[in-house]
Amino acid sequence: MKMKKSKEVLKEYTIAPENILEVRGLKVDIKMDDHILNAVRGVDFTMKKGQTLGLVGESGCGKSVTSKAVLGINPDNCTACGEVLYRTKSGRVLNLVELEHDGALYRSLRGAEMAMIFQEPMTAFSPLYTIGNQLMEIIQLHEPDVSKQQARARVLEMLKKVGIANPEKRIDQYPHEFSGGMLQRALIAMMLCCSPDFLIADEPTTALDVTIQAQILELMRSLQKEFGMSILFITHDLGTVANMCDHVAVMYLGQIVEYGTVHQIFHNPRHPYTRGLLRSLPRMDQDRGEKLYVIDGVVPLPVKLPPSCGFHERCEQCIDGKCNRQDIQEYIIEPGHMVRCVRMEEEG
Amino acid sequence: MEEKKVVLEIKNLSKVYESKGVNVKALTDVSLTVYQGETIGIVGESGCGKTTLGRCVVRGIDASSGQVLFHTEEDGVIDFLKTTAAQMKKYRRDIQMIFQDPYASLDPRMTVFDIISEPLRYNSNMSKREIEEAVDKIAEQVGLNKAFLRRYPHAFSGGQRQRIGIARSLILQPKVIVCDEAVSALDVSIQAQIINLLEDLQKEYNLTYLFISHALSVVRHISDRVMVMYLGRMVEFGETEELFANPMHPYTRALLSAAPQPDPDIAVDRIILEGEVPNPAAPPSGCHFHPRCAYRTERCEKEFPPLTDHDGRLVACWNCGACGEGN
Amino acid sequence: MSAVEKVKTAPAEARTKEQKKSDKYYYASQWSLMMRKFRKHKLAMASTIILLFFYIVAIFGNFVAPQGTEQYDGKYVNCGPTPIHWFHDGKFIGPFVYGLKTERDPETYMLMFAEDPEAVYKIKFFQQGAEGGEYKLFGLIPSNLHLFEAEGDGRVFLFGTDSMGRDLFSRVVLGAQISLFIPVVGMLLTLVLGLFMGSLAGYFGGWVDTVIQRLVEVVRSFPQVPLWMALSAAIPKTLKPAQVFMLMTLILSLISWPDLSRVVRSKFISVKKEDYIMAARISGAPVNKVIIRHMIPSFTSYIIVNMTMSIPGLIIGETTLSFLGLGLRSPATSWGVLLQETNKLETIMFYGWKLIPMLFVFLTVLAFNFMGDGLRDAADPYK
Repeated sequence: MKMKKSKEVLKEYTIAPENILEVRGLKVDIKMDDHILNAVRGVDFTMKKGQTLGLVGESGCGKSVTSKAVLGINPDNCTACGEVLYRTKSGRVLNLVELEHDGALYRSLRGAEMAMIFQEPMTAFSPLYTIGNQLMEIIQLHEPDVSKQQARARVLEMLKKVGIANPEKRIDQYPHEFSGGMLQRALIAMMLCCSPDFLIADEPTTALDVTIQAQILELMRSLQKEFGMSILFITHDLGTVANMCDHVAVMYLGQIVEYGTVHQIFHNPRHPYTRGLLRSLPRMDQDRGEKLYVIDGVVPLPVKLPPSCGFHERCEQCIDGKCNRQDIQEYIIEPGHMVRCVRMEEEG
Repeated sequence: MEEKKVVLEIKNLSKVYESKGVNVKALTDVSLTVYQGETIGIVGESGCGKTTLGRCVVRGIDASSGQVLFHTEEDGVIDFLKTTAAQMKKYRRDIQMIFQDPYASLDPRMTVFDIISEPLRYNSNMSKREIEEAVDKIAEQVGLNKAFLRRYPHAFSGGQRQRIGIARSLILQPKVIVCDEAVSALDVSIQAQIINLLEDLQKEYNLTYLFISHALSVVRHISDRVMVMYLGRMVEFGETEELFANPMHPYTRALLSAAPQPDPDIAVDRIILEGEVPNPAAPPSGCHFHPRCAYRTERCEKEFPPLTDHDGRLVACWNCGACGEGN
Repeated sequence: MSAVEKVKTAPAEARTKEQKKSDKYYYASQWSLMMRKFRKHKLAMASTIILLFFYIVAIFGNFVAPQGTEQYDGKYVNCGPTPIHWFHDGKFIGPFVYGLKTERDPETYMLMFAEDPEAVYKIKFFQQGAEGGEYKLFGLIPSNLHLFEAEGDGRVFLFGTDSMGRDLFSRVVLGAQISLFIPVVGMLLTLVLGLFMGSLAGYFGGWVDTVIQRLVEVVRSFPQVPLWMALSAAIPKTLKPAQVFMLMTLILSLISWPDLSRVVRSKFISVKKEDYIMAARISGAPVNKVIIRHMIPSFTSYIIVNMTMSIPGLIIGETTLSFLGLGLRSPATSWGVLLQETNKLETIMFYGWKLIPMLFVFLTVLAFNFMGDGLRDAADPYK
């Protein structure tokens, strides 16, 4: 991402007291070889303290880019604009988009207040150092006056907390001696070392086996309860979302097309895309033998899109002259339930 | 119901990998009878041997011992692992495979036409015209635009690439197709398209699928019978509906309860298994599952339970009656 | 079929510019994708053009060079480059040179050349050369046509002359024939050797692999320059230049194949595991077809890159050997032979132009390196 030139002279922002994060009109463009991808095209959402927001969508919908824009870790060919307002532990509200990505302020936030866990935990660790060393380094980086013994004790405690058996032995092992699930636990321990307020989990269980996935999700739930973290949970797996999240934002082509509580989304989905997605999923609790519902076509590339609903080409309920002619506004159909679909107009 | 015709029999199939003096049993003693036109789901976690099983069946790798018996009309039953080169050439085309990764399984240097027609060139004496017609026909059937056949794979999305892979495996008109995680790498909406396509093709050509997947909901949807594997062995096998409604092996139960379902109201009464899948190079003694099993007894630690028949359901567990009734 | 994707295609004439652009991309083979990427690398493109120019000049060297290898002019020993003029007495008369007068330096008594503003010799193009300038184009067509020559007694020495009165420009051009082509021939030999050994090791593995790998290690652990020297010293002094040339390429490639064989081997091993190789085998492709149709094409681009990157080493190798007097000898010429004259301080002090061949070695090596960089970036267009 482009460096922002501000010399840490930041404007004052305010957000609602119960919120930890408010994203307003976030746009991210990615410069490719010969065109510009509008990966995120105006995203708004809020996160309450201690809650979990699920960001779901298929590949290319912009969910990962959105989360990386919050952390300021998108690659250099991305430019973000809009507001990402974040309340720090000290109570200050910062617009993260204005911060210099490698600046001291952002760096002090990452790790200490905001943390991220990834799909591939292996890439988060250096193969050259023991797990213990890497975790201790993080603690000492953010709290320089902690002694080595204290840091080691804290790491041991954390490893125990994330359910790694025999932590005294494990602390001195290298990443390749850990299995995928164990590494994901170690990564969670690493992120817990600095007790962050805000966690971004980008497909944290996608690479894991089902039984291990269940373990990790259970662990995340219990840790969230204990530490009161807010979690931005990014996944394509609707099953995981239903089990993990309080609120859900469904993304399509760089926009949030539907937002609501997990019950609103799963029991009363209103956007044709959300409905299609839920219906196209084979389910364990339904009769077999029926054909799966299919959303025709493929996701278009977000390049020079005309004003229209991003989904109109694949939508069965597309209204010619409306859906393919104008940008669609958000409709609040009940408290906390937003749908970006013209059909909502008729329904009030 | 018409009489079921056996198309493939797998008998005591085992595969041992040797690396640096350590023997890794990837597949141990798996037997399975497959009927024409059915779909057998093969589920399990990584390292359970399901991919090895699939690759042994298509002769992608050589099994260490056991038999893969293929029932042919002309030559009767032939053992795929011990057959003559001529017979192999004749019947290899009858068992094909669809791969997981739609990016890695297509040679990026060949046009889509060349990719789809390649098997024909090795297995038939068709003229250029005939090959073109065959490819056009199959392309239409899997939903590929004929106009795009001269393009290269990089011009296609994941779902379309998977269609190309399906077309390639279908062009020889095989009897059995091994689908190795064929929809796992696809997005939800594309996954539904491909599953429906596979079902349609099955009906049309009376295909038999071995559907290997870790996604339980997909397996439940597409399979007639399901085999659950753990650490290279079959632990449970039965009719899909019954198995999902009443899993008997403790591992199957855990697996089913761990699968997240897209409904926030489904009771979160999970069995969370402790520990991880053990290293296949050093599997636990006795029943491989016993270190993670809540119902283990002394016997489980010592002897591997044989597959026993419970009204058509095969289960490898010493206590399967006991824990099943417990709930 | 309900599952079938609706693929909308507009009629051909209605396709927009953008669509045509993407069509081109979709129909692009591996090589055209590589070219697209390569063209974006400006430095590599520039280098390629420079190299093409050098090679074309070298191929037509006898035509471009005013003098042949055997010609010399005792009157003009150690003469500096002659300036080309366009205006005489303020009048434009086209390119010409002034005649050269010899003078003695009053202090050092060294012979010096000065322009004689009275004698004007126009430069004529496509002239039949003087006696002794005959050559055979491509070794076949006898000719004495030269690109340029001054009329009458005039002399054009673009890069000056050497201590025997030979035109340095001619010798640089003729030297390029050796210095630019030895590496290419050497590279091709290396390619054959490396490809063969690497494929053997990669495909068969086991003890074949072990033996070849040990051999590679043995060859690689010799220090290069002494080995070159030892081998070239063994070349009999009585051989014709063409034979020396062949032997030198052989020596160079005998030493440089191990690197390539390693690349080939590791590519073989990694590509063996690709799904599309498995797919080809399942569809009944015989082993040789799998290797030829799928495996080798998958790493040809890497081999080309590797080869391009290895040429600079071979150029330097040839130059070094000739410079040390172990390669070709005068009157046969190569850039290394030309540089032999520069190993005296005197040369650098008084006859700076004799370093010009070095500039060409430098430019060529640099250009090959840049071109290799560009090729490497373009080598895997599917990433």
